[in-house]
Amino acid sequence: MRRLENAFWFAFAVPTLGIVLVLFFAPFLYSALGSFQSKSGQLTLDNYALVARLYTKDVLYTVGIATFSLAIVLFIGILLCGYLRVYGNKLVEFLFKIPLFVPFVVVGHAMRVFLAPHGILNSMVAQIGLINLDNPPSLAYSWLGISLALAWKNMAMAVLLILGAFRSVHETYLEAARNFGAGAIRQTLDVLLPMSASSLAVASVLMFTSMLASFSIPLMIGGGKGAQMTMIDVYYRITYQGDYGAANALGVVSYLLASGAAIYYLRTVTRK
Amino acid sequence: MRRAFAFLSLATILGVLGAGLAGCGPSAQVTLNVATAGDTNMVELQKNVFGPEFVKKYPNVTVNTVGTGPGDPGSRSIYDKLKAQSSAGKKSWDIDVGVIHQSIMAEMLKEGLLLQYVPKTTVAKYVVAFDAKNALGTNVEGYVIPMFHSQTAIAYNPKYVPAPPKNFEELVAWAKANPKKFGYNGIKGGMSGQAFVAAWTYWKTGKYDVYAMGPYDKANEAPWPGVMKELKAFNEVATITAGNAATLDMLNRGEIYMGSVWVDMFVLWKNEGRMDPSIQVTLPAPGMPGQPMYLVIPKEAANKDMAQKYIEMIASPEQQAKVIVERNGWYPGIDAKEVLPKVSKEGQDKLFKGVTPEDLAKKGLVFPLTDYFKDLLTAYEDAMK
Repeated sequence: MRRLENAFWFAFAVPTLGIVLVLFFAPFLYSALGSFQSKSGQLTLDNYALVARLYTKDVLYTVGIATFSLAIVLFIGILLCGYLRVYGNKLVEFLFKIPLFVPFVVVGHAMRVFLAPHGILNSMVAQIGLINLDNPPSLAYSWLGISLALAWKNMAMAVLLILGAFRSVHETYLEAARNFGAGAIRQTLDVLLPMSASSLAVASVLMFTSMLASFSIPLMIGGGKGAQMTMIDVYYRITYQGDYGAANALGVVSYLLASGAAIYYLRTVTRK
Repeated sequence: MRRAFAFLSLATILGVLGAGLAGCGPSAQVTLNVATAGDTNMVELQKNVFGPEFVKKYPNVTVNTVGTGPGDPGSRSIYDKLKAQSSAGKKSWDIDVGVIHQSIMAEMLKEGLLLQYVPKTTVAKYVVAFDAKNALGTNVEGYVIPMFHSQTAIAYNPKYVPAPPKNFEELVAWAKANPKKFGYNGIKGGMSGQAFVAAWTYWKTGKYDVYAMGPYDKANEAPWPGVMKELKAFNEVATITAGNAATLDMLNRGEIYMGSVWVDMFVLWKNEGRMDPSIQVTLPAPGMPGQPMYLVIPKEAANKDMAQKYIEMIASPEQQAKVIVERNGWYPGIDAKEVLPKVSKEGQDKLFKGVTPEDLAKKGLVFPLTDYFKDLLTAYEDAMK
């Protein structure tokens, strides 16, 4: 009877596994293979040569932006979640979860309106005479704009994951720390943070890879000048050049970056 | 308990599948599937204007419009879909009418995805434009009817630009005198920026005929690195915006005073009240590229006859005058001599203010041949990296 039940559950899982294999794994292999093929189907490294020639800077730029945004998110996220864990504040917690329900495109557009040279932020600051609107600084259309938008969007995810990890730390540890006179920041940095390091690493990897793969926010708020995020380049290679080879090569590079981050973090965590 | 749960799950799945299958019964009506590339305005055009107009005459038809996305990527989606159905050996494809850009035509014809339907239509005699025969170097005669022409041009704010540039020399001089006040969107944010880069190359090399008419020969690309270096220096005094819409946005907010735009997008934004009405367009010499949107029928379309009737309606002088010119501010796709007499004075003024029919005849250029164009964009990337 037990075997029958197992067989049933196996049959139950087959469609799902099949979908993963057909819709995710096969295209992935196909695209990795395509990155080593010329348009006529011969094996070649030309696509990688093109990526190295035109997009090295863009790849570094993308890693830089993802790292910087992740740093912002972690810095604010850890302090905030420490505060929420130690004192608790339902309203603040709710406010920080809002970005979870705002689509990427909406974030991109909102940030564009907010941060543009004559946008809401600059117009408000100009009211008190801090900047001159004839020659305004612009956060939008720059790497800082992309970083801020990505950080804002990922903050909710961070709060969800970090707060979950912090809440799983038993109250007795915090009480013990408080008995020795530790304040909220001490409790966060010395107790909560080390005890949830592995969850934090997983959260970081998730956010880092999603930032590497971000497309709509850079598309809407990025500048046309200088380096671009790699997904913009992938989009451009496919749509304007019809060049799936180089697009696939860029995809493989992104994949290696993402899995590199994952392997590095997971190794350092499991070693402890 | 566990087993009961398992069987309950199975029953649910079977139930859902059964209901799904039951929904796929035969339909008495003809459903005409229209796939259109382009922005939401292109989808609305089919859904709210041409679709209902057609159904008035053919009540047994339901027009189902699908938008595949703005710009060339939208056309590529239609190509991908047709190619997949062709490769799978299907005999009845699920797109009856396609509205696509020039850039995809070479691949469409190479793969044999389109029907040579135009000679059989009642409107064949109006299909006279150059780009009805030639799309970026590909012979498309008989496969396409241009639905309309769009044109890129330089939009400017008369408050800050009292004397709009008559040619590219004046444009560059103005941009240098007014740093960061001229904007275009580079090459990754949409085709009004690519049009500016193409126009810049035509101007600097004087080889428009070579790049636009062909034949393709890489030796003709020799001057490009120098031309792109000059463009890079120009970029230092220009603003590179994030896209077609971003250029219009920045013009509207007064962040830039001049920029490269699509005339039809510009007219549409004005009509919708999203654009400062004082902003105007001009077409500086030697000119800028434009492109048509093509009406095509896939080779194995399920409803070929109905598709042809639908296209005949869109390409009729009446609909071209009423919808294409008056409603949307586009240049007609068929012979303008047949269309313009049916357009009101007001409609003609709106369309030709700033860019006159003479301007268009003289300075309305086309994009380079596909191979040149791809190389040109790469030359730009190489120079700007």
